[in-house]
Amino acid sequence: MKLVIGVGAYLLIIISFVQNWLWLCIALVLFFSLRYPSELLIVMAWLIDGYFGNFQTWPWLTTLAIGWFVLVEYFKPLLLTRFSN
Amino acid sequence: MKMRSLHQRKKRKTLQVVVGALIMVAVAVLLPKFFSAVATALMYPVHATSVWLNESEDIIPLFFRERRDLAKEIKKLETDLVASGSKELTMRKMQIENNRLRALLRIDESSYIAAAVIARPNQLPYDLLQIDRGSAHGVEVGAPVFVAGDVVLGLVVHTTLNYSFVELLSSPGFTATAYVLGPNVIAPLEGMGGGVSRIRLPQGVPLRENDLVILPTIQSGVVGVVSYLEQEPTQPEQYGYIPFNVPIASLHYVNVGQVSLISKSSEQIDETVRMWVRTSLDVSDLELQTASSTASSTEVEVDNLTPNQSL
Repeated sequence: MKLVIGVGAYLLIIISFVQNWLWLCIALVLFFSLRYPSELLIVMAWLIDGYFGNFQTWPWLTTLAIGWFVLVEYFKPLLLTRFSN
Repeated sequence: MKMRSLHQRKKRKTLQVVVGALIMVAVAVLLPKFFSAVATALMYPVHATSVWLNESEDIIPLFFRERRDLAKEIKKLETDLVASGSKELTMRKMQIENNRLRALLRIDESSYIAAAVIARPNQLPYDLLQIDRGSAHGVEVGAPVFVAGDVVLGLVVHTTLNYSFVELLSSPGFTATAYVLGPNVIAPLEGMGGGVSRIRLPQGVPLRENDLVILPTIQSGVVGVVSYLEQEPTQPEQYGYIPFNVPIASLHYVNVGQVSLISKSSEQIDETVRMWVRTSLDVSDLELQTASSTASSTEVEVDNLTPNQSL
């Protein structure tokens, strides 16, 4: 069940980003980052950058995703221990 | 000890991921076309979904698209309503001021005759209206016809006892002199048929859509607003097309004015005065009668001769 939800959320993040449903995208990214490995978001950002042709200049979305991954890896243990307490 | 090694392992893993991602980015930047093609191929299902949502005629995406478009239109209409509400207050204030000025000038509003429209252009040819008032009710040929107060429809061209025909401003061949508010210029107005009139101006005059056009010779009656422009830079003239802003098909009542509402130009007044001056010294009762004389003598009494008469 967790896998199904994860895959569904992953696909929904990509679709909502492409469709410009940014509020939904942000909410799903937060959810995904806390429940699943956030390095998968780097792969997603890399795919979206390739789709929009951002490799011709600089792939800002991938860079943002790497920064987000570092941030989540720093704050996630703190958040999880706080909520588990 | 265990915690520290766990922490260090996590740190190492994070570093590995970051370095791997940066290497991936660097390679993709060096080979952009290749990686773009790969990413496009992998993203094909997402692309197909996006196209389905944006362009498909299926019921679900159509529902969401139409709902979104309707919501946008409602918002726009609400904004327009608020703007027109504030304009209406200004219009009302100007109407009150206008009525006060008309009262000061003693313009008699009761000189209009209300008439019902009994036949319209789709029933009659050549942009004509038939109204149910005629000469018995005071309608005269040449009287202007208005709708909604100030909007000029046309002129009465034929009257009978109980009905009249009105030729619309838009009938082909109808010409008048109009004044365009905006560029504030005089322009010739001509009817084009089908409820559309046209004004003609030289290129370079700043004519815009929504410029108001009035007829100064008929109490500054409103013709309408310019709704379409024909401005070819290679042509010496530009044209502005003015449809009736009142749908003729739903026109039921009109006001017929008096011929005296049509003002004359200063040239017409001068010509009228000149003609009066020329003819005012003619006395129609007196005639010059010539007297004929022959070789035979005619007895004329000398005492009765006047200085102008000769033998």
